Amino acid sequence: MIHFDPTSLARYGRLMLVARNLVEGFLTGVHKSPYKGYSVEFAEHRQYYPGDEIRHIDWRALGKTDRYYIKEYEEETNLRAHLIVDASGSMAYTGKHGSKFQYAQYVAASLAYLMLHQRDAVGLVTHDTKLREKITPKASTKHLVRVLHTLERTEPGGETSLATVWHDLAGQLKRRAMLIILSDCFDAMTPLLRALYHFRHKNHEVVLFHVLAPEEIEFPFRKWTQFRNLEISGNRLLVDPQRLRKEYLRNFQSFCTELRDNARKMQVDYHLLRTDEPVDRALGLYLSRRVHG
Amino acid sequence: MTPLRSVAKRAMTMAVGLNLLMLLGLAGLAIPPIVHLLNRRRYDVVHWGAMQFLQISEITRRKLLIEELLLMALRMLLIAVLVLGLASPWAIFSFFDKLGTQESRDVVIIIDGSASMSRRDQGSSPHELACAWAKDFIAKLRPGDSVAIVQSQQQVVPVFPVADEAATAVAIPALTHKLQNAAAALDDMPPPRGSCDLPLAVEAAHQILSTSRRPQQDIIILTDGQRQGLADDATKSRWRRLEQKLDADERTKLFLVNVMGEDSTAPANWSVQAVRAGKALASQRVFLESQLRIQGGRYEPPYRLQLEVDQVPVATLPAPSAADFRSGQIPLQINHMLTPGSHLLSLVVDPDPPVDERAEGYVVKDQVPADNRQDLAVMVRLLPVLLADGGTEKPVHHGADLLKTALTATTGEQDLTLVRPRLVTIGDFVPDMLKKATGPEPNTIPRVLILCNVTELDRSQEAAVTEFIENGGHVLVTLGNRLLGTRNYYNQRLYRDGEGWLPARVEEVQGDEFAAVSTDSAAKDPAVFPARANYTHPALGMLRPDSPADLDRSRFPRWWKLGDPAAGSGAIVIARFDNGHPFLVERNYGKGGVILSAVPLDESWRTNLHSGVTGVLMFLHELLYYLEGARSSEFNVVPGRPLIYQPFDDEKPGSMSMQPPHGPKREISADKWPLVRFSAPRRTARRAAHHRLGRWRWS
Repeated sequence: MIHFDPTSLARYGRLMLVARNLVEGFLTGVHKSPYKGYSVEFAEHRQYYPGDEIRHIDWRALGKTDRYYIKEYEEETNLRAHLIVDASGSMAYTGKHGSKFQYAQYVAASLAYLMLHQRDAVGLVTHDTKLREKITPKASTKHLVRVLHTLERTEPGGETSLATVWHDLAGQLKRRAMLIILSDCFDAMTPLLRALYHFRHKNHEVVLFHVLAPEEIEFPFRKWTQFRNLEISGNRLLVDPQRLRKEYLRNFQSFCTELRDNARKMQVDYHLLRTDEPVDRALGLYLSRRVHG
Repeated sequence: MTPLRSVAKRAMTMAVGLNLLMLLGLAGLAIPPIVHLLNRRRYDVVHWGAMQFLQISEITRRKLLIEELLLMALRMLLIAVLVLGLASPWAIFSFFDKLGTQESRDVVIIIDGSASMSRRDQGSSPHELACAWAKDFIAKLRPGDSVAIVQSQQQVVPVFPVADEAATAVAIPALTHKLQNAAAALDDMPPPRGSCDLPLAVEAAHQILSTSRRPQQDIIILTDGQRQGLADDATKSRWRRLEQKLDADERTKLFLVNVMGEDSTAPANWSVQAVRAGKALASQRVFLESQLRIQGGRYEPPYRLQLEVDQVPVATLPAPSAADFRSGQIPLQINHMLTPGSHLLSLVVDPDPPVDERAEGYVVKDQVPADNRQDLAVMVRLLPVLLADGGTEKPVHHGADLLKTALTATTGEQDLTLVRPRLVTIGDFVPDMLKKATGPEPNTIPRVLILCNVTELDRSQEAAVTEFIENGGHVLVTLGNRLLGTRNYYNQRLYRDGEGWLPARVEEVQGDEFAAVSTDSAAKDPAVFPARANYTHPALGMLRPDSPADLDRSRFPRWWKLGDPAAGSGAIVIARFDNGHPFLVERNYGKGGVILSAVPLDESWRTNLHSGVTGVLMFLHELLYYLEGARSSEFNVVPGRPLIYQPFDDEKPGSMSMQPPHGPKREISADKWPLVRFSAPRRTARRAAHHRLGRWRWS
């Protein structure tokens, strides 16, 4: 329905198309999904066609009817995934390769598409200083539209208080799930690590995609620049970036290193995503996690 | 070295000087703070998320602030050093004198370039000694000292720094502290020749030093001490005038070095002075004037006095009479027939016979043979002119025919006039005549048009004349009785409030040719006469106060009153009547020019111009040759000498052109007078030839 309605395409189609193109392109590359399902429930029989797997032939039906039937199952998954997308003001930073939030949108949409394609249940949480949207995970195909719609109408803004929101979220998530966090993690380190630990304490499997723009990593500015805080209106800093660069890079790299090391210590799957890298890299990281994790 | 003038004593034990422009340069110190402030006002804006990493520590903040201030101070210091360097500040402190330090100095060396510097009767020539002295002096200069070298001949010849031969206009040399090529420049200096003008060279040196701000400025003259050009009566009076000028400048010292030392007796010397030709080469017979100067001896007829044309001897001239020998000089006057074209005339004197013809005990009359020859390049060329008479009578009578007769007159039967006139009535004047030859000879397309008392031009004639002027043609317009009914035509079609090619408005006719002349000699004659004045216009030498010509006796009972030239049109009054009203007005138009005469210049209106004034022929020739573009031979120079163009009255600097005898015409841009230019760079061309310096537009 979405694909043929221009209005709907305009409203919902962008992420859908992006996600579908990304995922199908990616799957074409890997040929098969590594996911086989954990429990299955019989749904119906259908006629056997050459090429169907022999192991799915219902031998009892063959004995009774002397015909080949294939048993079809409704796959039931125990994977519940929450896509936690940081929509704070700092994610609105737009460098040469687009904004961080847009990049996170693409990654989240692609992952949702991929997971639903594989019949995993996907939910979505967007937040800044507080939770904005929370969609409970479901495996329905229709559910994808809702997730994408929510993602698309989310605009980044507001201050960041990751630790507080994540603590709240950890309290709300009752069932064990996979938490895929897309955030720049710009917050105080100690509360941030405690919040991550809280997730782990609740036995959630945590994948942390640390979304950063190359400008934030390399700080390439040369001319005098006024940096305007995306999260706090009126907070401005006029500096000569060349003379501040060394100090900035030291602070920034120290933060990233500490975050990565501590995440690994608490078995949080940490990945740095640069907005100048292809989005499907995140898909590969996720699937690798699913296979080996 | 002998100081020629005392140096004013400085009462102060400390003096400081600097270029006042330095004060302007110091304003540059404000640049770094301004740049800093501008940077703080002109910046990029980045909406940034990672603000927490920009929060630097207080120690770092202070460190950056200190670095910033130090950087700004360093930049200001660099600017200050640069400004001080450019301003060339100097200071004199008695304290430094005690320490034995020396200030940098600027020196202009003048080398006497007169022929006597080439004498070899005592071993090395004074010229060689002067060069050696200059080289030795330059070798002993300290780093930072600046030097310029000039040679004093009849003009000032720049020697070092070497002029850029590709430059379009070269003025006097500038001081330089790059002295590595000075010796080569001295070796390449033109050999001594002719006379010298040391006061002129000192003035040039003073002008060179005027660009310097250093406290020690020296002018050093290297000479053999010969009286001519240094201490003869004429030069002495010029030294006195120059002394006042130099005395006003306390920084400049003038030294004279006699390279011959104590032994500086004047050698016996015969020399030929500069050759001059009559200004208007109206015929193929060229009149030359010069002087034979004899120094250190009495006059005896020379062995040979010879005239060469294009370096081929053509005539042995009779020895001048001893009766004409006065004040060490004998005047020489020669005339010779030349074919049209460019010629190099040379006057050569050999006072002594060749060595193998000399008798035993022969006393040599001339020890400096280098100045026994003078060259003069002249251009003898045909002058095609079209005369259009305003009448209808054929043949023309009492009108432009008089001008034609005057212009073709020569001094003898053998003389061949160079003027190629064609006389037509205005009714027969068709535009094509300005594009066709006036006679059977080549190169006789009219270059001058004379409109003699013409009523008016029809449209095609008017357009043709305008095009003729715009393309470089010259026109002489004479006003007479035929304009009485068509004055408005001249003003509305040809003058056009200064936009047309006619130089001035034709206002009203004045005077009465039939008015009775009072017999009382005390009574004022109502007619007007050309006024004498200090004209520098080349065609008006006959109206200068010292001219013997009688042109000022030309009586014009009736004349046209001309308006003052329009401002900005470039027209100027080049001659006036004795009542102050314009007689001749000139303007340039396009590439050509026009002279407007307030009288008809024929014999109408009962003027005595053609009946009582002997100078009329020469005056008309002067006007014609000026219009045609011929200039006098006063610009004759030898290769390597600069060509100096002196402007006319009120002439403004502008585009000039140089036409060598062979090759294309080159344009020269002149932004100030006098225009100084090397007509033939001595490295590339040493052959004398006739160059034609022209003007495109100087309005």
